[in-house]
Amino acid sequence: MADEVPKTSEMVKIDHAPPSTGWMDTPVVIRKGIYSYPAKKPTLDYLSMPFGREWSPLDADWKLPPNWLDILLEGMRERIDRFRSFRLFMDICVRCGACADKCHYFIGTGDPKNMPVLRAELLRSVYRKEFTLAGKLMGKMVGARQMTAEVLKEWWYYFFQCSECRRCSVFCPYGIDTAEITIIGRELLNLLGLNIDWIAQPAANCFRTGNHLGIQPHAFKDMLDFFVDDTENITGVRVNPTYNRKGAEILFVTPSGDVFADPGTYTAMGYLILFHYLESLGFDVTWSTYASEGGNFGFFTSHEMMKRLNAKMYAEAKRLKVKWILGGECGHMWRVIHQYMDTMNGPADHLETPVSPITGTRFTNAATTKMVHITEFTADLIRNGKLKLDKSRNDNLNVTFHDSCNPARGMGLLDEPRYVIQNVCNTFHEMPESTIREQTFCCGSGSGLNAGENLELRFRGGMPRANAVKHVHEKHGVNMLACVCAIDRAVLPPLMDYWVPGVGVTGVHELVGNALILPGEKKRTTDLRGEDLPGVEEED
Amino acid sequence: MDAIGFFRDRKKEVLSKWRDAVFASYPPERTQFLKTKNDPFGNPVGHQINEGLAGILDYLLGEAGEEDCAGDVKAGVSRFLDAILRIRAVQDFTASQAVEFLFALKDALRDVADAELEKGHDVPDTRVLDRKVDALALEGFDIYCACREHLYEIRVREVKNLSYLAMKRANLVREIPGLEPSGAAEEE
Repeated sequence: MADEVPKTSEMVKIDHAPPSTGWMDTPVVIRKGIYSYPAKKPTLDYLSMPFGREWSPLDADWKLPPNWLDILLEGMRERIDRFRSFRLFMDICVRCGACADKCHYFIGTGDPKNMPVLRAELLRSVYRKEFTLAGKLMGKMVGARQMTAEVLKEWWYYFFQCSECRRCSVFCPYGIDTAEITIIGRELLNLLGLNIDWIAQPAANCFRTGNHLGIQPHAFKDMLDFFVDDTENITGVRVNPTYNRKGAEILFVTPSGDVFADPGTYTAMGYLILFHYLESLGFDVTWSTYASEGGNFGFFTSHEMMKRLNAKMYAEAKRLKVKWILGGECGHMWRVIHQYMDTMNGPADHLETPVSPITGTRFTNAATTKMVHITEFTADLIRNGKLKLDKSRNDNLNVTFHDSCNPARGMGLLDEPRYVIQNVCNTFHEMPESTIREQTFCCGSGSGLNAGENLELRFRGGMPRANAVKHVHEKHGVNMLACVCAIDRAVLPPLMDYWVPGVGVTGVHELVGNALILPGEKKRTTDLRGEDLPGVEEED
Repeated sequence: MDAIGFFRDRKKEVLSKWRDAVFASYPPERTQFLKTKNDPFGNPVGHQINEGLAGILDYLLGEAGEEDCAGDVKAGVSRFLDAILRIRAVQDFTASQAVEFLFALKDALRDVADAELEKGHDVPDTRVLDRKVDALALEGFDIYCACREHLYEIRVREVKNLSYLAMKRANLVREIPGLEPSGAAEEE
């Protein structure tokens, strides 16, 4: 009987294991669904970036300039001299592997070159070969290798599979910031015209019109006018935002995603409601149709481009003669402000240390940048009892909070958003400790990787985050994921749709807008999304 | 001898061999991590594969508890298949590679049976289980395809939203008031 069954050895032998070669000898295979489309010539030209051309990552010939190797090595030499951190990070890694399993892309893809240590090693191996004596003499024995066009392709493929979230750096005993290695890697690629379209185009748009989407001032105002109408329909109160108003005390800057992409638009309505509420208490704010973008895709291109795009906010603040800047719910804007702005474009002497006109709180943490995060500002209002809130208007929501990488790890903003949420919602549950606060998992689409063509990469990378959401969804019935980043608000809804259907995504100030009781408002029957408030149906 | 009873007694061995085969379909550096790190949040892929394989084997051997699947054994096993295939649908696998892990279960069953045979023990006919594995594989193909379709639907929706917003931004859109949620509020 048993003889009828063929033995394993007799069956067609299927080898499950992929070829086992060393990482240096495993050539890169560029796959659709993972890479983002290359930057186009007009956008690179517009940004005065070199070597814009038509090329495809799937072609063998990337049409590199003939002297590309000289350009690249000279670029490396320059940056080794310029950035002490870069040289240090190239030298001190002992390859202990503490970072290896901390990257969401590695966890989700299984590709060893997505281990932060190995991703950095792609660059470090060339550094050893070209800039260290041991590497020059002993080559591969000491982990050094020659820079070739194939290695360059590998750099391009993998440096655009790192979202610069810095989770790995939390675990590095030496404090190596792998995001900075990616930043330099991308900067070097940009010397050869090898950016991706999803980064270069928003950067060019921002340079031209002031925001990533290329929205002109009148269209920006039109969109906000829609929200003014919508807000009036829902609350019965007409809010009156002002634009480019000289002499206002505060300039408000938020990512353009809040103005142009759902569900960020509801967060923008939340800002409008809050600002209107505060007006009678002495709050004097203006929006700008020129500094109409908090985000900074220059940050994902080069230090120079980041500086250029960051400068406009401060130039606008100077032009309008405001005292300080209030910043909306944005992710990487805050890392740029907190860690780079002061060195690049500071000191902002034309501004004053921010003081809340309502509570008198002096935000000394923003003494040099002169820019306050809106959840810090709102948390201070709540703590001082300045807001009249009806939490029950969010009773249909069971909320959890996703710490966006940059505000959490880049500026230490951990408690303020939670404090605000818990004061405007009755039901809140934290995700597991190893997936929040400093250890938060990236959305999988940060640092300019939120394109459409790389959806598989985004969903693999977002899987660890979604997995933690799934846990609280199943355990506590969580149905709303709150966050303080416009990229999160754009990319988490599809991520939830795939991994945890039944969980929506919201900005924190959408929740504030729902709960805040405006003087003179009508009885609200819907939330800011136009959905029935809890209990309304029964009343009907 | 009853094949189900035979393998129930040797479930641990079958599961271990099956797991090894599935994890071996990932690069070697990855396999180590997937297998050894037992943390549902730090190693969600490994965790879900482990849970899924055990759940599918329980189903195959008729040991899926009613409480595990709210009385619906079929739905229970689909949930485990979905958990694994949803992950493999976004990893570097072709359709056949993504689903192949189900056929690896046949190898695992035969390996365990062969080992018993070599010891001179009686071994039951495993064909009854082969058919069940085939049925699981077919369902696996359906689930894999559904996951891929889901991906494309999401992508289409993103593109649609973008183009709609572009039109709205250009002031080319006038919505029918009754269709707008805010319009409904206005009528009150």
